[in-house]
Order: sequence, then C-alpha cells, then structure tokens
Amino acid sequence: MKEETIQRRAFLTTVLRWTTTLFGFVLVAVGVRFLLGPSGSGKRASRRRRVLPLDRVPTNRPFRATVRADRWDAYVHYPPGPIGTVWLTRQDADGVGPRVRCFQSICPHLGCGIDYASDRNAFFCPCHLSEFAIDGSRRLGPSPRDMDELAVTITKPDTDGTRWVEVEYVEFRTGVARKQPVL
Amino acid sequence: MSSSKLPTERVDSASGAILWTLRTSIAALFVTLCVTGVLLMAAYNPSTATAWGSVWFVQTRTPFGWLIRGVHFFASDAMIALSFLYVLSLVATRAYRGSGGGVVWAIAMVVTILALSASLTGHLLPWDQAGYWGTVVRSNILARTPIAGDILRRFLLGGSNPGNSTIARFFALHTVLFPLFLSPIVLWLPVFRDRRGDATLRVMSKRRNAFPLARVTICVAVLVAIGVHYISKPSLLTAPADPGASDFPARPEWHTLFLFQWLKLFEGPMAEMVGSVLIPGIIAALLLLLPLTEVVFPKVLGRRVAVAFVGTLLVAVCGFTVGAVVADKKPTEAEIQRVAAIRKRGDPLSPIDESILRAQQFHEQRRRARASAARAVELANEYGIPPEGPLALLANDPFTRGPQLFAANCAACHRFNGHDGMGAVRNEPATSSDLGGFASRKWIRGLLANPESDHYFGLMKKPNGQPAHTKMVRWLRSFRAENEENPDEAEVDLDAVAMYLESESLRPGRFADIDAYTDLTDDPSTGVERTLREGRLFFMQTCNECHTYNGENEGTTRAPEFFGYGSVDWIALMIAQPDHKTRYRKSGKEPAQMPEFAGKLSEKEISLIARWIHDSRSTDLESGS
Repeated sequence: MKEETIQRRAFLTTVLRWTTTLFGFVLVAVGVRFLLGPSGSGKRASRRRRVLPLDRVPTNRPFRATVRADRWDAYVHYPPGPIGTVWLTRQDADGVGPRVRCFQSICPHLGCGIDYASDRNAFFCPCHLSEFAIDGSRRLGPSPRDMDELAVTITKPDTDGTRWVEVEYVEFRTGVARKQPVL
Repeated sequence: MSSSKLPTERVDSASGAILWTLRTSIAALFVTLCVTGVLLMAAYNPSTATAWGSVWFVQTRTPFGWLIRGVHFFASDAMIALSFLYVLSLVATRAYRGSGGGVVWAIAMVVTILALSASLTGHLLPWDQAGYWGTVVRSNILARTPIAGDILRRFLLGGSNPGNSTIARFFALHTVLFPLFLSPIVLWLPVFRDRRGDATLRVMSKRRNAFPLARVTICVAVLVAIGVHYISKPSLLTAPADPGASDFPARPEWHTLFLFQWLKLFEGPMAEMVGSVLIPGIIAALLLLLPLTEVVFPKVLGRRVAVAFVGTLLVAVCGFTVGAVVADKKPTEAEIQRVAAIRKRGDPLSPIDESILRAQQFHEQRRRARASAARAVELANEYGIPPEGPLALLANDPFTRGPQLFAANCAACHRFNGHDGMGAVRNEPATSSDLGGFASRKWIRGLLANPESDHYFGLMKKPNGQPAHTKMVRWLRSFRAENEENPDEAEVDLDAVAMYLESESLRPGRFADIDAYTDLTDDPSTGVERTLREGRLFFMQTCNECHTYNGENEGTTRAPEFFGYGSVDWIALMIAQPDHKTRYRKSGKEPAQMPEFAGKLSEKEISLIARWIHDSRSTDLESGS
C-alpha cells in the first residue's frame, strides 16, 4: 500500500474511532435520561382537597374520612377516586369557632393503616401496636415520630351555607424521625 | 480461504466492497433497532386502551422519547431499503452463484422477509388509525389464501377482529420472535469471508475496521437520509384507532405500495385471491429459487434469465410504486372545479375525471385524518388519557363530534359558514339559517342589519309557504323608519345590543341589575363596559316588549326567551325542544318548523353540538371581562 494510503487510512480510522466513542457516550446518556423518565410530577397545582362538610365532623370522637381526587399514572388521567384516608378531630372552642385537626392515617413506622380505639380514646396501629394520643403525639410502640398532621382549611359558607373541610393531602416517608413528604 | 466453514462469495474486490458495506450496514441497523426497541419496550403498554397513550407519552413527555422513537422508525425503513439493495447487489455481482451461493441468497431473502414482517407487526403496536386499518386490510387479504385463509387470519389476529389479542401477539412477534431469528443471521453477515480476491480484499476481511472510507460514507449517507426521512414523514402518530371510523384513508407503507397499486388491476370476486395472494406468492417463490437458474439453465442463459427476472421485477415494483404516488397526487384547483362543474350539470364522468374525484376525496380524508391526529394530541396534552382509552377523548370533544353530528342531523336544513359542518357543500339548498358564529356579535349584528337574507330568516318558511319570522323583519323596518332622522344613532343602539347579547351568551345574567327603568346618566362605567350596559338597557326598553327575559316581558307578544341567549344551555334546549314554551311555542304565533331532537339524539350528543356551536365562535369579548 502506498504511504499516502496508509496515512489516510490511519487518520480516518482514528477519526472514526473518536467519533464512534463520542457517539456511544451520547447514546448511553440519551438512553439513561430516557429511562429515568419525565422530571418532576410537577403538574399538580395544589394538593388541597375538599373532604366533607364541616357539619359531618363529630366533636366527640375522631372521624375517618376518604380523600378523593383525580390522579395521574404516567399518561393515564383517572377521574376523581379515593386516593387516601385521613383522621379528623374537632374541638369547638367558644369564641374561636370550630377547630379541626387532620392526621394522615398511614403509620410512620411501616405504612399500615392507623385505627382508633374508643375505649382508650387513642389512635393505634394494628400491625406493630404503635399507640398515639388523640392529638397525634406518640405514646407507645415502634413509631419513629408522631402521627403526621396535615394542613386543614375550613371554607367560608357557599351558596347553600355549607362549610367544607379542606385538607392538603400529602404522604410522608416511613421509618424516619423527621416528617418528609414522599415526592 | 475455502477451508473456512463460513459461506463465501465468489466476487471481485469492488463487488466485495459493496456487499461488505451493505451487510455491515444491515447488521448495524439491526443492532440500533434492538437497542432503541428495548428502550421503547420499557415505556410501552400493549393494550387497546393504553397503547396509543403510552406512545404519545414517549413521543411528547419522555425526555428524548421522540429521538429514540424516530431513530427506531428510521432504522426500520433503512434496514428494509438496504436489504432490498443487498438482494439486488447479489444479483448484479452474481454472488448468488456457485457453492455456498444458494445459502447466501437464502440468507438475504430471509433477512428481507423478516425485516418486512417486523416492520408490519411493529406498525400496529401504537394502535393508531394507520396501523389498525393497515392490519385490517392485510389480514383480510391473508384470509383470501385458498383453503387455509381463514385459519391463518385467526392465527394472526388472535380472534375474529383486531383487538387486545392481536396487539399481544404482534408484540411477541415484533419484540421476540423476529429479532430472535434475525439476530444470528444479521450479526453473522459482517464476517462473511470472500472466496476469491486480491490481497487487499484478504486484508479487508481479516480486520473488521479496515475499510473506514466506506463507513464514513455510510455515516454521511445516514445523516442525509435522516434529514430526508424527517421531512417526508410528518406524522409518526396518527389518531387513536377507531374501529367505527369509515373514512380513514389507509395506504400501505412505501415498501408495499406497489402491491396496493398492482391490486387495482384486478377486478371481480377473485381479485384479491389472484392479485394479492396467488400471483405475488408465485413470484416470491420463484425469487426464492433464483439460484436454481444456474442448475436448470445452461451457464450463460442461467445468468441472463436471473438478471432478466430480477430486472423486470425491479422495474415493475418501481413502476407500480410511482403509479400509486401519482394516482394519489393532489389534484389542482382547476381540475377540482372542472369536475365539480360536470357533476353539477349531471353529466357522466370520464375515467380521468373519476380518478381526479377519487384523489380529491382521498386528500380531503387525509386532511381530516391529520386534523383528527393533531386534535387527539392536543386533547391528550390538556387532559391526559382517560382509563377507558384515548377514543373517549375524541368522542367527548365538541370540536370533533360537533361537526359530525351537525352534518348528520342539522345540515339537512341549516348550514355552517356555507358548508355542512364537515366542510362539504350540499347539493340540496338550505332551508334555514347559517349557524356559523351563532350569537356572536357579528352574527347578531348581521341579523339586525338584514334579517331577510338567506343567512338568517330569508329561507325559512311557514307550513303554508309564507315567509317565517315576519314580525322581527317588520319590527326592524319600523324601528329604522322611526329613526329616520338619526339613523346613525339607531345603528349605534343596534351595535350595543348585539354586543350585550354576545356577552349574555358568555355570562348569562351578568347585567341583570339593569331593567327598563334604570338610569345610566350617572353610570361611571366607560368603554366596552359602558356599551354593554347601554346595550342591556336598550334590550330591556325595546326588545323586551316581545322577547322575555327571565320569563318576563313588557308587552304581550312572546318571542324566544333571551336569558342566556346563545349560551350552551340555551342552544341545547333549542335543539332538544324548539317548540318549548320559552322558544317557538307550538301554540304560539310562530310555531317551530324545526323537528324536536330530544327523542332523536341523546343528551350528550345535543350537548356536544351546542358546545361546538358555542365554542367555535370567535367572540369579540372574552368571557367574564
């Protein structure tokens, strides 16, 4: 082979090798980014959900309410359906008006559903027997923190005079001492 | 050389280079297809309700999804094109001859058939219109195979019609079976040894990357082809598959377009059997057996027969493909007008005119299909995919269903901007108003300016043949007569009332605080707001004599109720019960000529028509401003 041909061939081979490697890196990067999926589930404007009329929340004992909302699963948009349950407690203070507190029913220990024991007037988790006071604070058992409280808003009366309890529905990580939302 | 177990090709160095290039490219494309294919598999859900949505999600919402899908599409087309070229090159370089030549030829045939099959099965997977109808047609052609046709079709579809079972088995075929059979063959291709050749060739075949120039050329050619492909393939996702649709203009992909055109030559009940199954089957079998020309015919003749056969096939395929493209070419405006004129006269059409008409209809259907695809993507962007599948998006979309329902139910009498809602011009004359832009300021103003025009009341007749709605006509005439001294002021008043009524359609009851006795001299509002309020006052002082508002009016004559005039609910009631007491009462002085649709159309359908008529207007006022 002529000297020129060998040089040209060597040059082209090197160029090709570098280009191929670069291409390869780009392809792998593209593939990995693709598999990581769309960034941020950002579409949800507010997580505040209307739960039920204020009148239906009793004052003498906690009330378990189902939170309904639409939800997204990749490309499927489900119409409003149950997305979780919460515990509502109500105390009406004179002069201040109704005060409603809301607790996530998911146990901060391992995620079981928290129940209410009327004889002890306490919340308890049937899985590993964590017990919580009526204000959500941790009393007994392996739960790493208190029951997770959620922000509550009581709306002004609407056209037929009903006032609604609205809850900012969030789910939190289990098994940690600090309350952290699951993204 | 010949001690190797691998098949060898008896070629010289130049031919060897071409074949080597093609083989390596095919192998490279196959690897690309597998890699992109696996990535797509990680995002695709194979069911009739979820397939389109998952593909839309990959295409629009997943990072680089459009790129991976685009590369997958391009690589599949390129692989088929290159395997065709490889087969042709084998004939041109006589490489199918000799010992081992038969194996080489068989491999080339198998690669082509499997690549085509993979492409056809993959086409169905998004469950969009193009894939669905293509599969329907192809499975019906398959069913024309003598004796076993129906069984074959059942095997292919997994049932009697394309559905979930079809997607499932096409998915298995496309992702597992065909790649499984292709991979050993295709990955083997680059290492074919050349039997005879000079030192250069021997060097080439020993070191795989010893021919960089060819590969550089391939890269450049690939980039150019991507550009061309991108330009010529505008819609990678058509609308969601709709088994009920009757107007989707299905065409095969470019590689099978010649079969489509070829079939047009055949007529009669046996057309598909002979034209699509029998003759192509025989030709394919002969092609597969091409190496036997060496055995059957004496040396030179054998070569010539083979080249002649393949050459004729090539010319025929190219010819029919071009024929198909030309037949579907968009006719010029002049041709369309000419044919329309002939049809209007009622004269018979020549074959050329017939083909122009067919091409025109094809392009109209294609335009609607594209609009439908774009609308589906628009709706998906806004609402996501409902659990029951993407068809529900279009079925509940006023802009999709509204025109269809209008054309089917209303266009017998009404028009919409001169056509029937779907863009077609009816031969029979209209007998009622044109509802394009109904209750917009412009439409109302037009009615107040010239109610007798065909656009408004002009075509409407009472049962006894006399013109209808004469009261409104007479009132306007007398109104103008009364205001002869100051005609401009009268027109300003009518402008204002038209604007007010448009705002009434957007926000019913907005100006309910103003009645006939309101004094606006100290009213602080200005500009548009002022005009609206003045329009409202005019309405309450003048129009309210006949037209009730909220069930009440000043005079005794009753004309349609105007609370929420032109709103969706108002239109819906007009469609459902035009003889309602708040519209044109049966017992009133102007009973409705329009039939009652409450029994004929469902509430949802009436709502879709009303929402379309309402939403398709371009109103001067934004709602709520």
